[in-house]
Amino acid sequence: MGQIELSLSYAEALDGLAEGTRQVERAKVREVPREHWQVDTVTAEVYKPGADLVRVTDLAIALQRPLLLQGEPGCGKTRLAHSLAYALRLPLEVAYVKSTSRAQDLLYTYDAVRRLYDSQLGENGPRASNGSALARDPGNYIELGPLGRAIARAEYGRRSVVLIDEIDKADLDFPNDLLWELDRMEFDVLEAPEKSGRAGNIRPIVVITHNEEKPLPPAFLRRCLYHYVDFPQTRAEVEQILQLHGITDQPLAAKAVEIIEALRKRDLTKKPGLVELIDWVRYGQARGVQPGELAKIPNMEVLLKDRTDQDRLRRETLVS
Amino acid sequence: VSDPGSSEFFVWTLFQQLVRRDFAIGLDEYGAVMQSLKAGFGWSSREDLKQVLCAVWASSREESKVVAALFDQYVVEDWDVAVASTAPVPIVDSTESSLGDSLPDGETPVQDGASAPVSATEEKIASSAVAPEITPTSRLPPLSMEDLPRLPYSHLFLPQYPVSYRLVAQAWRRLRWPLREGPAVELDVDATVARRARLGVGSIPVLRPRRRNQANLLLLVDRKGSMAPFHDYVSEVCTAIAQAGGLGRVGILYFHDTPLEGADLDALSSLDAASLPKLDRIVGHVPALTHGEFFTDPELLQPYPAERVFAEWTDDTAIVVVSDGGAARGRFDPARLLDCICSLKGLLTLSNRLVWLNPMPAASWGRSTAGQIARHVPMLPMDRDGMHRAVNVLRKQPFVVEHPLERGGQRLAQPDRAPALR
Repeated sequence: MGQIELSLSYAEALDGLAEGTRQVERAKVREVPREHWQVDTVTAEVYKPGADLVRVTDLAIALQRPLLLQGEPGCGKTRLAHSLAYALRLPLEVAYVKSTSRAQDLLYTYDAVRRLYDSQLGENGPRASNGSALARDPGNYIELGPLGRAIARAEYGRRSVVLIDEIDKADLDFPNDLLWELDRMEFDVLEAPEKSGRAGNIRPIVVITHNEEKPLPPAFLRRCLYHYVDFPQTRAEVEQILQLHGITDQPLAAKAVEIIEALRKRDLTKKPGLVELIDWVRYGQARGVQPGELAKIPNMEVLLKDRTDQDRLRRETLVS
Repeated sequence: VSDPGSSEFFVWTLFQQLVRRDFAIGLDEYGAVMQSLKAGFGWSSREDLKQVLCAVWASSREESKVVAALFDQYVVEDWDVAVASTAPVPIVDSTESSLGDSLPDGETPVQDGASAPVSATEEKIASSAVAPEITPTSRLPPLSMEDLPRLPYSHLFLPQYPVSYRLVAQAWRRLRWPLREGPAVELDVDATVARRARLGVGSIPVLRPRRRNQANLLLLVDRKGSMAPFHDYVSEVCTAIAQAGGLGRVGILYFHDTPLEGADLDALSSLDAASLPKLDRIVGHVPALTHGEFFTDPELLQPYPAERVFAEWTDDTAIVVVSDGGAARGRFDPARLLDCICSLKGLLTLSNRLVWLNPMPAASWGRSTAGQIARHVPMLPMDRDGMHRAVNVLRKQPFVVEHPLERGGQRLAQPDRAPALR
């Protein structure tokens, strides 16, 4: 069991966090430097996490366990990682999982084919800065993946946030293959052992999102902290989120929140989420829609993404 | 735990309840909760503590609900943070703010305390923070309904099935039929070497698709009537197989009493009373049923023609019939038996991987229709062991039945050894 990590707190970092930009170490680099790293300017994430989510995030940081987020699409699972990285001034390494992703890709990839080509060129092949042929050293063909970079950075004493997005898209074995690496935060590069990484006391913060497409193996789930990201419970919270996204028309926002609340209570095939609501109200505001007109749900295509839902609502609004 | 006496910390009891419910959690996860408490999480309210437990121990919304419901069974007094922080702080002696929402600074020597054994923490919490004070009185004071503290719940019903979701998934994951399918992503070493040797120059490696499990499974589920008590359990098992079994294609169709109906009951008239309940004499001659209807919904409202089943499913499909076969009521019905036999003969024309799962225990099949069906096809109880054996049968391991059904010259199980092993 690891130590309790209390030096970082998302809750505290969020406190008084202003809009703007910050200088943060560059992520997604070819080689993680020990020092003199490059810096990127990151813009603040417009994001308002619920109080529960903030608490669970801090718990995950303290226990140094991966945070597994589940929830309806468009409720801000992925955004949390961006907001967390910005708030804590940490680089964000993102791994978008695809159906063909292998666990190893998160750590490193070895480009054997390119090395083969380079070696066939012999004397004319590409050379490193010290004059020796690149193909002589397999390490030149190793590229670290998002988790690999985060572990390498941790080895140099710097933390990162790692987002593993939509983990359930990959094969069933994918999460199982990551157990050791996520537990120990270390990995071996068989082709070039000097490229292996070991995180010490500083460990990357891992956020994993999951869409319930496929269930994850229990051994993997056991190691994660689990949180279901719900639609905000109170109207005030939703209005606050709208305001953050540039909705200044207070009466319009209030009316929209009322409508979305009623819509979400109904038995729809796909309930509108926050993303849909924000788009809908932003468009309405830009078009100068009056709060009174919202009851007819203009531009419902933004809110409802299912044909039967749209048809039902169209019929009802016509009747009323 | 050093002291399993009366003062057992309720979180530990809750943990054990979850382990019995087959949650995938171990002592590490219990330790994680203890560490969180020690670090100041979960102290501000009842809800806060519940949330910590849910976050660490649950791994789905369903599991969260179970943790929350079990937690609610323990009546933990909410305390006022303001009052509590003036009292001696029970856990982290060096930080005063640890009971509130805010975290102590990294400088505080909390980490020294983190290495203390878990049981010590637990006792401290149990003795000083949770246990209510008891003042002895000579007689009980009068109590009106208004004085009673409101419980945080009205009723708590949590289903607990004979076989958990996880164990069902484990059993059915063994049904594998790996085929190469999908995008070519895996290196084919032999083909790459062969191409290199043939061309004589460096060439791109040959890739091939990865192996995926393509085992097809058709679940035929009996609904209504005597199956009513098993509806929830059966649907939990079916959901687990479909979601977590990792199978290629899973189909669920429903029926009532017998998979298909309409066998010619005249065949029964040729039997004399002495040969009943066995239908062995006519089993070989009665025609297979391949017509009729299944249903796609558990309410048996949406019919699905049997012909489509035979057209859409391949001959390597594993067929599982889920029914009590009359065992729940213990009755023997020759007409039902004949219908079942003819339906099974029909299903065997589709695929000879077939097994019958019975939610009733094997001891109850005996004299009912189920007992007779079990003489013709592999029938197994719907518990953990039974499901593992069912998967074995579907993987073509030999299973001896007394009088296997004929399938166009082939026989379902090993016919030669069957009579000897009776």
